Amino acid sequence: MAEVNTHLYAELGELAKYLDTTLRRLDEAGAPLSNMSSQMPQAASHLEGLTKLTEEGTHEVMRLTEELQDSHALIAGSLGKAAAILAKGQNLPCAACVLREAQKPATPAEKQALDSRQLLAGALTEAANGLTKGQSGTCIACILIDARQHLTQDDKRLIEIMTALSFQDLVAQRVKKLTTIIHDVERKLLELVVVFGVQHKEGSPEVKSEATDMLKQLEASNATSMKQNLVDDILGKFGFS
Amino acid sequence: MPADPAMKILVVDDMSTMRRIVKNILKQLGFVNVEEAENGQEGLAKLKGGGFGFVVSDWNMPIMTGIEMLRAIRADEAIKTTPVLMVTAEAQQENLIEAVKAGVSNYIVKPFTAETLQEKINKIFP
Repeated sequence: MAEVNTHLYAELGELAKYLDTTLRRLDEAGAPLSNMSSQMPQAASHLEGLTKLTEEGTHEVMRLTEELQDSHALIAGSLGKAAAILAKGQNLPCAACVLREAQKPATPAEKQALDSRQLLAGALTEAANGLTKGQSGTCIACILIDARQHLTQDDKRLIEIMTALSFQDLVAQRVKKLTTIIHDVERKLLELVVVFGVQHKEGSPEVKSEATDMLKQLEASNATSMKQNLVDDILGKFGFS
Repeated sequence: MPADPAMKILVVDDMSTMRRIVKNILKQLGFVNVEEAENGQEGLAKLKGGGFGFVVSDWNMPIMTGIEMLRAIRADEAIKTTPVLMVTAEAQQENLIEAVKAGVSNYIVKPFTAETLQEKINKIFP
């Protein structure tokens, strides 16, 4: 009976020691686990931010590109009009040109020759005649001035595109932060592996997860994805002309 | 019959940037009557509303994928003849064959150019 009790006490002692060790290990693991659980939402938030950032940046570049396309279409139209006027030899000063001339300060010689009121009156008469004939802004000088204004605007848009592309810098900064977080999580996972002595068992079944599947899909797409010309060849075999 | 520039086109893609890119290229090609949908389900609902002459669709989308939408289009008597062009990152041979079997009108892999889109439209509307 005494021998059985001694053996039982020894077993209980071992069990208490094992429980104590396990509790201490759990305490040690608690801190990294707690840190990781707070860092993972942070990482996810960073990733969501990246998506938003790249989307906004891309939209801005596309908006400016669309404005450039519209502006170029207008310039092309204006130059076409100018070419048509030149071809017909009908380049008369339009009402807008006459008004512009009238707004210019007269030279001392002009001042001597003409009273400014007479000059303005003459110009306005010419402008009125031009407007009656529907010539406002239709001479080559006006068309070219208009085109130059469009080009000046386009220069500003091109600069804005360059500026908008700076979102890449912001993305790079966030990627750097994410890399730091991932390295930190990796280090803490290693600590857990050391604390619990987790070991990879040979032949153990692979853990199936969505992430594993996606990784496999990515690897597969890298290895076997087709180019457009191969797609067209296959489509041809199916009777697509 | 060549494509009518006034034809109503539906662009289906879950990425707003991609919808905008396709819409912009279509505009440059002279097609200005373009509508958008974020997934197959929304696209199908719009198509059933009538009036669309052409669909440009992505493959991978939430709620209803492009291939599921294509099958639904071909199964619907009212819209089954609508040409559907797939523009997708799904560049596996089996994807292409699956799309052909489902009745795709043509297939473009991303990244693509405006010239490729024009060439495919010309093939669909000779």
